[in-house]
Amino acid sequence: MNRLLTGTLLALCLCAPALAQKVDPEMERLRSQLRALDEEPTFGALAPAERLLAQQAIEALAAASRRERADALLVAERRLDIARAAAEAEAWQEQIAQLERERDQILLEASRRDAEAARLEAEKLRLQSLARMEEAERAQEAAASAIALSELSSAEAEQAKRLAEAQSQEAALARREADLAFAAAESLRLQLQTMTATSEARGQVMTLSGEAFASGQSKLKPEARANLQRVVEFVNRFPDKNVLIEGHTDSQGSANLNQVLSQKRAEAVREALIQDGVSAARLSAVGLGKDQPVADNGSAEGRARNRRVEIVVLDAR
Amino acid sequence: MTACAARLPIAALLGALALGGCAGTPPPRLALEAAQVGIEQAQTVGARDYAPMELARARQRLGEADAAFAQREYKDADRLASHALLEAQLAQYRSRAATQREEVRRRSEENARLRRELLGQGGAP
Repeated sequence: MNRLLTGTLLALCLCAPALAQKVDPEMERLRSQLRALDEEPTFGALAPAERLLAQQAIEALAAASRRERADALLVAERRLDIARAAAEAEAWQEQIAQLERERDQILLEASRRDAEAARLEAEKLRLQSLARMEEAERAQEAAASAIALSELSSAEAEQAKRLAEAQSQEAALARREADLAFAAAESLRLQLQTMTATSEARGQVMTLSGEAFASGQSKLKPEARANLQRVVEFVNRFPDKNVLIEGHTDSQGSANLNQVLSQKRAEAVREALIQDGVSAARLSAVGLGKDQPVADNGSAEGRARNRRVEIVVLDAR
Repeated sequence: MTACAARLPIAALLGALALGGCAGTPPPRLALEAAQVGIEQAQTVGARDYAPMELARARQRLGEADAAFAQREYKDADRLASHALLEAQLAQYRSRAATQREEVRRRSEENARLRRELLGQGGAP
């Protein structure tokens, strides 16, 4: 545009040398004002039509007659004012458009930031929930392992309990056995201490139960040996009479074995009486086996009664 | 604003026509009407506030043109009417420039406020 304007001006100067001959200060002032407008950087090429009209008016001033001059000068001045005002208005208009673009960019950036913030927030929430989930899983695993551990220990405890129960059962059994043994010993002691003699044709007889001996053994049980006092007293009640000690068995087992066993048991009693101070000369022991039962060998109770050692204080002599 | 901008060249054209018809003989009704329309346009774009001096000059010129028209001095009436239109057009352009300068200031402040509030930046316009 500037080039166009200067080109036109140049053409005018070349084509109308007559008009340019005389220097017109008003014309020069107006032309320099138009040049200044053209050269103003903020206006650029704005309001071109208004500038052309201003240029036209300035040229009209140059062509005006003396009578028209004042009027043409006023028109040219106003055309210049208008061109400047129009350029200003358009420059502001451009700034408005620029500010509008800036505003759009600000809003765009703001919404972008909002979106970014929302994305970050969502990511944060996602991570938080992930962490919570992992925590819950860990807690669950811990609980599961704790349960497994407690199950394991309860299994161990169960085993220990069973062991303890078995042991206590064993102990109870042993205790019961001991109790039973004690009861048996006690009953034997009681029996030995309350033994009484009975009167028979051959003399006074005191019967020592087979329980005084261990099963199949010829040796007196310790508790029996310790409680023969009653037998000793009984024998000593008749100091001048001979005493026969007879061993008997039940019918079980061989006759020979029973005879030997009954003989040995009778001798064991004899030895014990001798040790307790009874004169050996008065005492004789004999094994009679199963031949003289006092009860039925068909029952356990009968067999128990048949197993015995009889101490007989003989009337004869 | 855009509508006014579109109308301005038309008014300018009418003024130029009125100016061209300087034979003197016909009564310059169109030139007078163009000046009157130009003044009204200037008023609608806020010339009473932003270009009161230019508007006053336009009215004065139009008054002189009307007086000349009444005296049947048609050539003077036409010339004065075209001057009135020029003054009215100047009032329009200056009013437009002034309102747009205010608009620029308003929008600059608005943008600074948005930058501050939405982006947390210092409000340098």
